[in-house]
Amino acid sequence: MTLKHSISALSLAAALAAAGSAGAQTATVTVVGFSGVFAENYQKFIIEPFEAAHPDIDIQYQQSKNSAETLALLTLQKSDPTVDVALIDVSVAIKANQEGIFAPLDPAEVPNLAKQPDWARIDGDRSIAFSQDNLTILYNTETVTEPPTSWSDLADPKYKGRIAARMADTRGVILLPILNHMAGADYKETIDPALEAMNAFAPNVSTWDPAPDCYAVVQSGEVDLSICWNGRAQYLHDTQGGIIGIAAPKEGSIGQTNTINLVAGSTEAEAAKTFIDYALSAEAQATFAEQSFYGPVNTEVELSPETAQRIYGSPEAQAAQMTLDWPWIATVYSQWIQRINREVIAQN
Amino acid sequence: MSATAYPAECPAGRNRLIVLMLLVPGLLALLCTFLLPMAWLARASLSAGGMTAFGSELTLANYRAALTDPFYWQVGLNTLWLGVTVSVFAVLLGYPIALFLARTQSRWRGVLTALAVAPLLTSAVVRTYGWMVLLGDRGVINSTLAALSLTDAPIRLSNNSLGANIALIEILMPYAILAMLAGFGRLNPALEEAAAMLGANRLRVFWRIILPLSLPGVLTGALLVFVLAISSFVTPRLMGGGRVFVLGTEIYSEATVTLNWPLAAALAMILLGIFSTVIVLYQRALRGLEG
Amino acid sequence: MADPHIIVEDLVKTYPGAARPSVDHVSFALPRGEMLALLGPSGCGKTTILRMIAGLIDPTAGHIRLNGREISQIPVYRRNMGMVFQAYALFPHMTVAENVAFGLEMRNIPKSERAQKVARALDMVKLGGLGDRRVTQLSGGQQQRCAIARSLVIEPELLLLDEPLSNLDAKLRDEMRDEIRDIQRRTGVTAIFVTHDQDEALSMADRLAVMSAGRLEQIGTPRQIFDAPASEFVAGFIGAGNFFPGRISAPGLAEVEGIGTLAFDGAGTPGDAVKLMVRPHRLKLAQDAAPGPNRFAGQVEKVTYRGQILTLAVDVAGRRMLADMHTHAGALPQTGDRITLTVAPVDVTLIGGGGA
Repeated sequence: MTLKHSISALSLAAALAAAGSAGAQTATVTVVGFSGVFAENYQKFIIEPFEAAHPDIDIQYQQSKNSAETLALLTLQKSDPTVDVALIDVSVAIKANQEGIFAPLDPAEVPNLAKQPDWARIDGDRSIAFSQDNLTILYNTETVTEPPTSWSDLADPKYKGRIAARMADTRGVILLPILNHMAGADYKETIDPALEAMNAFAPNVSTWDPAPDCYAVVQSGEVDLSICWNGRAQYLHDTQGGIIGIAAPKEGSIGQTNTINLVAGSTEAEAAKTFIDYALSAEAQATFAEQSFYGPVNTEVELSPETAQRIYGSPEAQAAQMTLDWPWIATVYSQWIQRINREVIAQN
Repeated sequence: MSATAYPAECPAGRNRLIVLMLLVPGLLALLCTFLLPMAWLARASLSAGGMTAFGSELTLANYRAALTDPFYWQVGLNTLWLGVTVSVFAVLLGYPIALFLARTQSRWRGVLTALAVAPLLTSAVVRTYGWMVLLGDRGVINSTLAALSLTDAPIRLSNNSLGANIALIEILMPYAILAMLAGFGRLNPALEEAAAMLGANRLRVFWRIILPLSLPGVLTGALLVFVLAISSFVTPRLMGGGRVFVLGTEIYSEATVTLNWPLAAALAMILLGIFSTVIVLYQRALRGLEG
Repeated sequence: MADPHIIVEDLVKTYPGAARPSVDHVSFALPRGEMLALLGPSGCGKTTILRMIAGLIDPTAGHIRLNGREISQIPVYRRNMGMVFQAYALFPHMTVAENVAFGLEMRNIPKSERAQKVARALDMVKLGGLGDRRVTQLSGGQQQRCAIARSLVIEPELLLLDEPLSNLDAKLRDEMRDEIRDIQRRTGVTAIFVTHDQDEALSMADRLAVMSAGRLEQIGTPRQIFDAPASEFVAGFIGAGNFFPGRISAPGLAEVEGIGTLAFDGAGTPGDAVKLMVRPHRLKLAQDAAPGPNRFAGQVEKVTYRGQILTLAVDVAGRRMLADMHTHAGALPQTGDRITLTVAPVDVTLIGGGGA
């Protein structure tokens, strides 16, 4: 950390010296966001190309353990933010907007806003969805010979005690509308059918809170199936000997939606907006999707069939891909989790 | 210590000033690291929503939400029950060890005591993972049972409250042993000898002398384990497979998943209330024991 | 000594790894109703003997007989002995009465009888009416009394006391000394107590056993021990003494280098190297400086005033002698005075020379 800081301080000093002779000013934009592989990919495929194109802007990426922690940080710094741009889960972003933490973006200053679908422009352009990480089923390729093809395969008795399913968070909140949709119901009216479907596979669940996470328990063979996020699973599939397999169900899925946000009161707002515009561009989103298997949001992105397959599954699943009305979901988020806890987990 | 006991050239007033000044750093640290966060927590539990913009109005809505919801009552009962079973078993299992350590004349006593509390050197998380390896469906115990053809299907030892209990008992037992050792101050070989001289055999010496005299230590050990158990979060979470709903896990989930900080704060204050009640009861019981 | 109550025979205790035995072939016998003091410096093995009799320590070798019966193999809780511990060892979680009743309870004595006996025992030690107190609320002396009542209420074969007075302040010690002696006489219980304090031993015991380094140096009545010590150790441990190495020149006479002839009480074998002792209080001021036997001329080096008596340290031919003078004996010597001390032959003791 210190080394990284001093290196960036050095490069900042060098940049300042260079800029001094050129008569320009260098702006440093601090971005706080997800940690791990996401951070690596984001640095390599978004930040580095951006910095190459904008030598006068320096991007500092700061890793955060999870979105709740990011929110806590932003809340504490509200009067004097040191962060300019935040990448956080959509549900947390909506919470933050209730606190007035983020500033609205102007389509005139951020032209790429126009290329985002309506659902992605949240809370008056304060939070913009930039990627979606699909909820999917992981299986252990050594113990499962016939991978599941449908969400309803989770209820197959042969998986008794062999499923890891963390449902008491965004995973459950996303799975409810999917299961609801399969039952032909509208999530804005009722989620009873979805809870019933969850209860149908509940007896197969070994753990509702896999430790250390939903990927490791598949990798280790502790369970056969796990309900998990696609992006990291694809990365682990490629790097950990292919033990983790991804079985995207044919009924389609919904992505955990990541948003990019300009922090209100940012001292480098102009540079930050330049960066946000780039991050929302078709070019950036396509590269990120190809490399990290996070679904793009920008409507102009064209994915190769192979990439689409790895992000969404079969063409049938690709066609069935859904999105959610996140601001509406935010109003029921904790209520749904309560219902999952009480009506499914506590009963099993 | 009376102030008049000091020589005249060191007046009591100046002494008191020095004592006060020595207390200042500790009090400041306590204020910053304990009292202020506590006050903030109490304030948060009384706000309507949001996280920093508490608004000026105070509300009991969070407490009402927590206390009128049968689910939270169940969570509260789960928590107390976990505390009771863990403290009972940790004390039962730790008692013979503590008694041995308190009474042994062995020159290895120091080493043995260090060994008994050595598990505290590793974090609870690491030890919980150890228990997951032992108790998992494909863990050491179930693999052994299966290899010996004693079981057809794995026995559910983890991802439930049994696993959380087993791991917590082991993890908190060193605290029980330490607290009991500290509380065994009234045990004295001469008392046991006196009882034997008066005609008590070993069993009666234990029941009439050792056990009653060690009760304050047992009570302290049980209290410490109980308090640690009802506030535990990592072990119930990792060993419980999401099925163990206790106040610790609920507070965590309200704070990080549903981001309802005021409700999390209210639950934390309720847990604090349980602590205080238990400690008051403990002190009453201790006074009763020591007379 | 016909029909001794307790006999200790060739008792040995060796702890593993110890260079020498803690108790080294100790034998003695005690008649019923007598009180024996085991006296010696700390580490001499006296407490070890007491604890072996009690059954709290197993002897390495030897016998302990009570009423003629070997008891070494009987477990401590069946020996029926009362013990008063140095720090009393009262049960802190019980009241005074509960402490005293404990031994009776262990003997399954019915409750009503128990209450009577407890009340009587408490009256005996002047704690009547304090039965409901917590023992932690008692003063030191009261705790001592409670411990005595607790050990006597079971009507023990033997009462054992381990340094019973060492935890009391000086005034209380004198009072309890008399009281313990009195209670022991009244109850007629055979008692053994351990002490390092010669005054305590001399004033309380019927019989003294003086110990040194695990060995029994001498056993006898206080008078025998004081007046006819069997060894220089005993002589020195019991009271102060002036010691003179000499050689017997004729029966009842010994030559001491630098001093001259000492006439003593007894005979001795001429030619033997012996040790003679004069107690400081036996020395008197001579009225003249004429030479002769049993006279010590010297210069007063130091005068220590002790109330009733005055202790003089006198340099006699390069040897320091102590002499006690009564303060009412008229004109007293001052530091620097040249004086002559004298002693009657009957007050010169031949160490190891047998009884007076």
